[in-house]
Amino acid sequence: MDWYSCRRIVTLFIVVLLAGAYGRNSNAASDSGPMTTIQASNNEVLAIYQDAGTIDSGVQQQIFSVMEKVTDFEAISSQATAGFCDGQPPPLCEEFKTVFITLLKQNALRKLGHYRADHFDYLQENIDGNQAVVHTIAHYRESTVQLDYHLHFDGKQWLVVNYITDEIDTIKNYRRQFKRIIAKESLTMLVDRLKKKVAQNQSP
Amino acid sequence: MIRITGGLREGLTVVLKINLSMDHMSRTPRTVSFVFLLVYLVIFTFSPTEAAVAERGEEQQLSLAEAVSLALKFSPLMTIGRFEVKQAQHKADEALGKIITPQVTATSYSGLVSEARGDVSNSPDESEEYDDLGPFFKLDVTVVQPLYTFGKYSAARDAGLNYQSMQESKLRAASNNLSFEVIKAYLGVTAGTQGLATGHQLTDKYQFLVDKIQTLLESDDPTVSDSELLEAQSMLFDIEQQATKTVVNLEQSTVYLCGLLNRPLDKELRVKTPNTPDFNMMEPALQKVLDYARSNSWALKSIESGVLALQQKAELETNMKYPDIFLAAGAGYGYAPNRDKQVNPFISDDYNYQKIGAVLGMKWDFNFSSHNAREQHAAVEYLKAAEQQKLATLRLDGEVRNTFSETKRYWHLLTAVEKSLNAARTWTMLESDNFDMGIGEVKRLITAYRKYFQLKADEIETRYNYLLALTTLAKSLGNTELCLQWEQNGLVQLP
Repeated sequence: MDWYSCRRIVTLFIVVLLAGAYGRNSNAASDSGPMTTIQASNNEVLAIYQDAGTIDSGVQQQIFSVMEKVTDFEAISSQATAGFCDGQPPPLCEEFKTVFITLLKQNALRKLGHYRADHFDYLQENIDGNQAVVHTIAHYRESTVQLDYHLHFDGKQWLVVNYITDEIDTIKNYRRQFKRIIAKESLTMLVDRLKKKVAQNQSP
Repeated sequence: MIRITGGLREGLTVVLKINLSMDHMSRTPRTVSFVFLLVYLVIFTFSPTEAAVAERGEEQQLSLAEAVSLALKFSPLMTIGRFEVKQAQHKADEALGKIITPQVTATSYSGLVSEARGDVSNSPDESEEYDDLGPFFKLDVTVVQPLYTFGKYSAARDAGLNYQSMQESKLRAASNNLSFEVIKAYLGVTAGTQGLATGHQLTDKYQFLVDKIQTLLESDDPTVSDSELLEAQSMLFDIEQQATKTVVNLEQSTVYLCGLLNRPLDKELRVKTPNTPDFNMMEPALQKVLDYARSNSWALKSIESGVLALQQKAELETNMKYPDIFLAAGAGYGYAPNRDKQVNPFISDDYNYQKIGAVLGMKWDFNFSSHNAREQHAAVEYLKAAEQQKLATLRLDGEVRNTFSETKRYWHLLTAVEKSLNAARTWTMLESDNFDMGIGEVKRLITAYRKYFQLKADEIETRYNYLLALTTLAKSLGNTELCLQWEQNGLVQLP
């Protein structure tokens, strides 16, 4: 399997993570289990890809709009940034979280339409109270990637709050990078980097 | 009187000449000869592995099985081998025919002869007068049936059958060798093609990264610096070296494969990537593999048949010391109207006669010193061949053990490189995502890419070595096409 395929699958995975199939306003979501939620999300995204003749900005926005409704961005950001703001000014901390969320969305949007999986194998779901893990394998041509979704039930629906790709925990990876940069530079420098990145992505 | 003289025996023919005349003594003995054909015994001559050339190629993408099938079908080497098998079959049939059926010979003459009146004591004509020529006609038929040869002809028959069996085994061994060469060349083409593609990907990706770093630097991105750009640019030689490193020489493999398939070089050759079967035969299976190889090796079977043929040849030489008992019969008719028939029983008339007779005969060659020498020579040949058979078995065992061990080793390496490649792929993906998020390091990204592509090349090379080892193992087991079955089934196992 080549790394292009792997990136594609993971990026699609991010989209699925953020899109879901059941929005916050969905009436059926509360009755769906975590695996069903993931399956429906993946199928909806795959259907959009299949229906689209070409993957243009319109298709990307279509997927992104679904993504915005059904993802717990705050939970992801909170997990990734927790602990780094101790002793720091609250505005800086708030900016840290906000910029990180924006960057996450931008990154996913930039890769939308370029990377896709052909199909998924849904292996198992483990539910522990209001936390769940769904184990899947994503296929793209001859390549496969092991993808585990971590979900949280917020009282209304299951929302994805983390994903593990080939045993790499995304949240933990972000935290390690933050720790490295903060140790070498500072939290302020880190936030500046993220802000510059956001600005770069927004520039034409 | 019947006189029989013995002929050549150097492994080609035995000629028995019989002079048959049952009614009167003959002044000018005529000989009627018949040939008992012995099989020309060939001590095992192994044809080394040779590449054969096929006549026809395919336009579409060739699978491994199709390539092998084409090469075998149209190879002149295979055609020669098949002809040799037929020749051996004909020789065996001929020897059998000599044993079972009687040998019948008919000779007829007609022409002009001078007049002869009177008899031996009183004739008005002279032998050198050529006036008054008249016609004559003769017909002589002889039938010889060997009755008992003290085992000579059965030994010759069995030698012929074993010789035929040896040729068939040689053909199968040559087929094995040719299949091996085709598969080896095919694997070389696929590995070379994959290696080339990976090299291109590496250089493209490297250039993309360097350009990206340059762009980020120009936009004052805090994640990159001049030293990182220079470090990335200094990696160009290493990247090019890795990208152009050849696992297998694609051009050589392509030329070789096209030659085996008799395909013009300017015609595009498209091959399918073969499947990689799992190897689950561990050490306890080795004994079964050895037993299978000994039972199925066409090379060993060819040697075995050759040894048996030499054994029969030795037996034949022993039996040549004994006589041949035969039954022979003959009849003849001659008529020349311008010559008076001679009725004196002591005179043989060559032109006017009617003859018929039968004999029970025996031919015995008493040249025992010559017989003994040949017998000893044949016995030594046989014993030497038997020892060479043992040596061939030992060599085969060694070859199978080595190949089994190599195959197992490359299977473990392939499993390891696949795991490493998966990890490298994930690493590359991780560094790339971190870099895109603005929290990664350029140096680590480039290092991850290099490692990934290095392992990709290692994977191609290891997979090629593994598949080649499997093909060699199948060849040692006596059937190179076993590896085609393994490729299709996805599993290496004995049939």
